[in-house]
Amino acid sequence: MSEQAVDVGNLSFEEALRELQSVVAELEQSSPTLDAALAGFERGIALLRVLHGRLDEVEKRVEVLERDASGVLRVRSTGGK
Amino acid sequence: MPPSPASGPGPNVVGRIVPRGIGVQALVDRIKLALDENFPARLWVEGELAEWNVRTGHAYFALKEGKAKVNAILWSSRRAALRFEPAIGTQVLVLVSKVDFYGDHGRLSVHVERMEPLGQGADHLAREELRRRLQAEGLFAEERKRPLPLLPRAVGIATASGSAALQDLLKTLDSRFAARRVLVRDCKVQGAGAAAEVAAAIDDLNRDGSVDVIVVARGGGSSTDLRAFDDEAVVRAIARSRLPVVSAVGHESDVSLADLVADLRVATPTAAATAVMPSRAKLEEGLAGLAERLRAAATGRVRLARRETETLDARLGDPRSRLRETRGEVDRLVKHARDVLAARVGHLGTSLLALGARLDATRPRVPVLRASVAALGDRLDPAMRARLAAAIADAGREGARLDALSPLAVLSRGFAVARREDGSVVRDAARLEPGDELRLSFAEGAARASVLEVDTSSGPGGRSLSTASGDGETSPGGRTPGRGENT
Repeated sequence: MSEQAVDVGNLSFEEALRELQSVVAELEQSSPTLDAALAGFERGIALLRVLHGRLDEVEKRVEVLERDASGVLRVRSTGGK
Repeated sequence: MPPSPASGPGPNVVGRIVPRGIGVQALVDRIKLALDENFPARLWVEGELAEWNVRTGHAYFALKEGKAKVNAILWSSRRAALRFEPAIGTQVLVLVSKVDFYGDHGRLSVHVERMEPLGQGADHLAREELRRRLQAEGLFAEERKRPLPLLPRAVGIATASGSAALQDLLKTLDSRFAARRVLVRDCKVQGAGAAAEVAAAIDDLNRDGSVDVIVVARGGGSSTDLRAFDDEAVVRAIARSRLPVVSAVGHESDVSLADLVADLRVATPTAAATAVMPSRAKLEEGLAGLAERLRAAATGRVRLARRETETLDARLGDPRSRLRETRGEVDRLVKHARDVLAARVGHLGTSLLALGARLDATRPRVPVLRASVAALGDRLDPAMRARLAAAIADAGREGARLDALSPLAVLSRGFAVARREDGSVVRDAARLEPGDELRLSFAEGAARASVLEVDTSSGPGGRSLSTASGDGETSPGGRTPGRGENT
């Protein structure tokens, strides 16, 4: 389980959610050994932590993508919401 | 008669001259008259069919050519005689029977007696040709449609800055998920050069690469304003976009080519925002549900394990208490046997005394009676002996069960007892350190071992049976069965 746990932080919201759904379904539907069940629980908790992190990590801002006089792409903050 | 100038004839009220005009009805009548005079006969007119609405059987439509447009009516009786299905954008030849001015609407309308198809309008034909070509390339295929990200880190928007479409998008995105980044690429969405700008905006958002999905939007409008979204440049830009594209071009009835190639087509900017951004509340609700299911599944499994353990405990029992119990049973059996025997013997003694008394009374018959008593005693003894033997056999069987429960027998099933150097029994791996020396007692013999690694993660399932080694004593509390593996 530890080799799996390493990559949790790199998962996208979608990947983490999909994995959490399969972990939960696995725990609910199959009858895992106690060890496997506890490992699945730990994995699920780690995934939930990642998912909540993903919900919180982006700050709200509206920016404008534009080209400057020489045609180079630039992102300009609007200062608005 | 032209309207009188201010100085013309009219009543002069209190010194002021009030101008007089003709009535609106009179004006309408004169317009109708002028039309009748100018369009005395029926005439054929060519034009593109622009609008087509049928109400109570009559068709109300428009004919156009470039910027010129005229309203027309095809009465239901005439409409029933049509030999083709009129389609917007097609070129038609109509026979106009009357040019009429409707005073109550202030509208001019031509009455159409006949309508013939003339082939399709140039715009329409070019668009159809492009559509067929792109379709043949597979650009509109369902398989090309990409799923939208579940939760985009940022949303790219290609639309006119300051437009109502952009305001709607920002407002709805904000209400769905307040903390998300939006990157707007301003572009003209109608008029000359709009197609090239929209295409460049899509390309730029891809090049920037910081968004996960692109919305191409504009507000609603008449169909002619949507031409940029039927342009090949826009269709190609959407087709080559690495990021999924949602088109919200704002027309319910007429689907643009951009709509066909986009990964998702929606009718309004608000619908686009709803499509690309999940509701934070819904997501959190979903996560809470999953967390609860995860917790329930895991605790359910642990509870099951505990039940299994308890069942095993009950079946195995505490060797010491079972031993005590069984010993008690044996004691009771032995005592019972003794009591029965004593009672019988006591009863027999009483009988003998009574007999003796009677013997005294009948002294001459004593020898005979004595012989009888002796015979009775002989018959009694075998019965007593049999009962005793049975009681002893019972006790023996209990003894066999005791053997099965003795620590020795437990060890013989493959369990071992781990003791520290001070002789105390190890029940919890957490109390051990790597390097600790242990003494393991097996059914046969013992061994010295040293701890390499301590694993406390396996929980109750990893517990091992601890019991005493071969000298017959049992360790207190050693009632946690393992899962089959040896200690």
